[in-house]
Amino acid sequence: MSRLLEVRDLTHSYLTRTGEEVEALRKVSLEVGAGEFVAIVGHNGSGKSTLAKHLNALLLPSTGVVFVDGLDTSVPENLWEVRQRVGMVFQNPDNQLVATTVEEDVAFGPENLGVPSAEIRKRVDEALAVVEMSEFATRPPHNLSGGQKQRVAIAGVLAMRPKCIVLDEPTAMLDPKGRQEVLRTVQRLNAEESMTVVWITHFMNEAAQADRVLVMQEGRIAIEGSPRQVFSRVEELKELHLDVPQVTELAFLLNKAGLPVSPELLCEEELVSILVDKLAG
Amino acid sequence: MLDGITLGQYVPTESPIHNLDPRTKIISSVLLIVVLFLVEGFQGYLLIGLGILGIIAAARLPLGFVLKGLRPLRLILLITLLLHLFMTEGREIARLGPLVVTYEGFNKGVLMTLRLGLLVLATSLLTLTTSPIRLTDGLEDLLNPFKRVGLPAHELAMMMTIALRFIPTLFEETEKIMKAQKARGADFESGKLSQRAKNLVPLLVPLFVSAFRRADELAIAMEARCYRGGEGRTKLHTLQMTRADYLAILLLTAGVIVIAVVF
Amino acid sequence: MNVEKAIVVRNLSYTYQANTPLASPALRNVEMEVLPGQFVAIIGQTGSGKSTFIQHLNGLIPTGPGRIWIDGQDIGLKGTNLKGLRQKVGLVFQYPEHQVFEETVFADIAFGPKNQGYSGELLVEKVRRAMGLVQLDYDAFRERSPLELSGGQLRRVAIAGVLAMEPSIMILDEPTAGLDPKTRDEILEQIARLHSETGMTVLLVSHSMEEVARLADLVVVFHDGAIALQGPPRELFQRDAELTALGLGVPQIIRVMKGLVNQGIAVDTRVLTTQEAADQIIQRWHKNA
Repeated sequence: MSRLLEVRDLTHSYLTRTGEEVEALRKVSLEVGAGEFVAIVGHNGSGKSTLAKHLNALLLPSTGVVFVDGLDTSVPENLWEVRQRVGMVFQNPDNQLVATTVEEDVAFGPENLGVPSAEIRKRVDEALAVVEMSEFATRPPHNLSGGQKQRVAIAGVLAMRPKCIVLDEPTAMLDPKGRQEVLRTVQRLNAEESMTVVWITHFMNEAAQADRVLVMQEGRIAIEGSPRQVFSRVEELKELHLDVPQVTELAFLLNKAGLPVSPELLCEEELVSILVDKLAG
Repeated sequence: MLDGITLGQYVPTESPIHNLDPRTKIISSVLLIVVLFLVEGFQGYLLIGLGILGIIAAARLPLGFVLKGLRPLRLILLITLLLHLFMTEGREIARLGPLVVTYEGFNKGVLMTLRLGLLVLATSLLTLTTSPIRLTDGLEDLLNPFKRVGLPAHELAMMMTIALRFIPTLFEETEKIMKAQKARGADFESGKLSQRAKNLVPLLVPLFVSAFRRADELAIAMEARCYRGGEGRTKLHTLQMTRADYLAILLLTAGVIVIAVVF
Repeated sequence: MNVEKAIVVRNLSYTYQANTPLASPALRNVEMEVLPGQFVAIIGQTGSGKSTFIQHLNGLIPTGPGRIWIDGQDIGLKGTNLKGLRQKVGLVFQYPEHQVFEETVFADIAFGPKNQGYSGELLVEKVRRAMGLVQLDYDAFRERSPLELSGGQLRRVAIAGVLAMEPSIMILDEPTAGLDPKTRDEILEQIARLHSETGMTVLLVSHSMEEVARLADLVVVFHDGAIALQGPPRELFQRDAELTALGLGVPQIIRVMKGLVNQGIAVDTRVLTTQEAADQIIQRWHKNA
């Protein structure tokens, strides 16, 4: 897997209104391979969103470097290249759609890039097809459901032909159905088009679908590993007041009580079949 | 809240008028407005009125619907009529107590009311047959030459687009905040005018706070999608003048000149 | 006849934009009874009618042909005192922090009781009590600007703004939406404590089965404008097939326990927490050993 994103010793500090200096990120280092699906979890204020904004040069490092596809984000000439290669989807579905119809909104990115009209048309149609929103092309966005709006936002990013999508809590304001829609869309992009995905979320069942999970705490990466590895550290996660999938927590409790069950478990079928082995007979 | 107002709301149907380039329609509207101010006399208005009826028919708009759009303006039209009717000096034709109706007043009143009505109809035809996006595109393009004298054509168009996009969202939000404050015992419906204005504070403050938050987030989202002003920007829908457009402008210009010269 | 019930709803229907081509029915023949002090969770997908339903309960939407009694009083009658009703039925909307408008925490929480006519010492007392109920320190927070608060604190201020009116019925529309897990747990704990300390009747609208499992006495499932299922959480979660068909699903642990039963392992599936589930399995394990 070739390296698409590289973050080295990234520190981000800013001044508050009262003049205090706050470090939102402290010496964070991270690599994301092309085609990888990375989930970032952590509390509000843990630095997740700040990190996300560095990946598309919306913020620039105080110290340290960020490379996107080999491009240093702090070099001004690289700015638009970087933003084209890393698309961002934000939390509030309403506040990222610009235009009065779905297709005009999806066209917004390529229009900014100066793509010829015929090519924009092609990209818009393709992007809407990928997120399964083609039939809504000429509708105004405000009547769509939250999940549909987020899919339009994803299409708007896809139309810029990025190599990576960074989604900053894209499901936080959605209902369970909307969450499913958005997660499935992005999973499909990752699986079928090898799109690199950085998915920031509070919902652990979403993080469990990733190739790799990073837990952020106070501007640092506190825990990192495969979902199984990360979630099996139940006590640490609880200490950070983060959720653990119920199955993992149950396996952890059984393990602690002396049952031969590994806490590195994520899905219920797995746990059931293990328990059936141990309990039957 | 504003459900009843149909004045100028875009009606998405297929028609030769809908298909015209928005620039054609903007120019045509301006021409119609100019001629309405040049002409004085019933015959001229009659012709213009017939012309507008023709356009309504060609646009496949139900006449009743278009006329209903005038309803919010009925009070203004009525006042225009009455003012002229009673305030013009001249030959008396009727008397209502102290009020005198003169021949000249009657003439002028009807003419002014007609002019105003036709003016509104002509401009509402533009928005009835042109989607807000195409209208914005057309305006931007027509204003482009004025960039050299410092007119921010692209920025104006972008502002219009964003306003159109967020008006429904802000309406919904208004309704929601209103309900939330009502649930806390707020009263938006009764009291004296000054009191009522004061009562709006719990509605307006959150609305502004939210609008600013939205603006902030939207700006970041736009930047993330490589927005950097109008320079070097292309468009999904480009404007293309067709033969129909030139024909329409030619016809209209000819008609306008004839009416202006004859009447 | 309905005096002993906190809420009685009979035959409630509602259509948005009735008599227009855009008419869409939001509620169909909803019937519900809530006892004083009960903790009721209302679950359903977006558009299932939950929000429309709760707005009826404090008169924000007029009752129409159906009937609603709050503490035995028919709120659909002409001349019903809406202000009085809204005092009795506190409604916390989704993202309530968006409705905070005053310059200080105190002033914003005081808005409700001030509208009820309270002032001076009594007003201060009400605000102090409300802040205590959501565990905001009165002296530390009363003069602070809402703009300086964290999301979770601001949401507590907004909830206190409704509590300050001292309602006997508290309705919360997705009070944890958009919060991170820590803040979410804090808010849920607040609500649970509120319920047990004051004995208030609580209606909690939620998307999350896991969230309501531990809290509610009764879970009511809305679907397509009607009540599709209801029951105490332990019993209701047994109907996992029906819940799944409604697009809702049940907590993971219930699926694990049911999976075990299906494979012939006798455990009690009526569990609500992971600890309960673990205890069941451990017990079973020791029996085998």
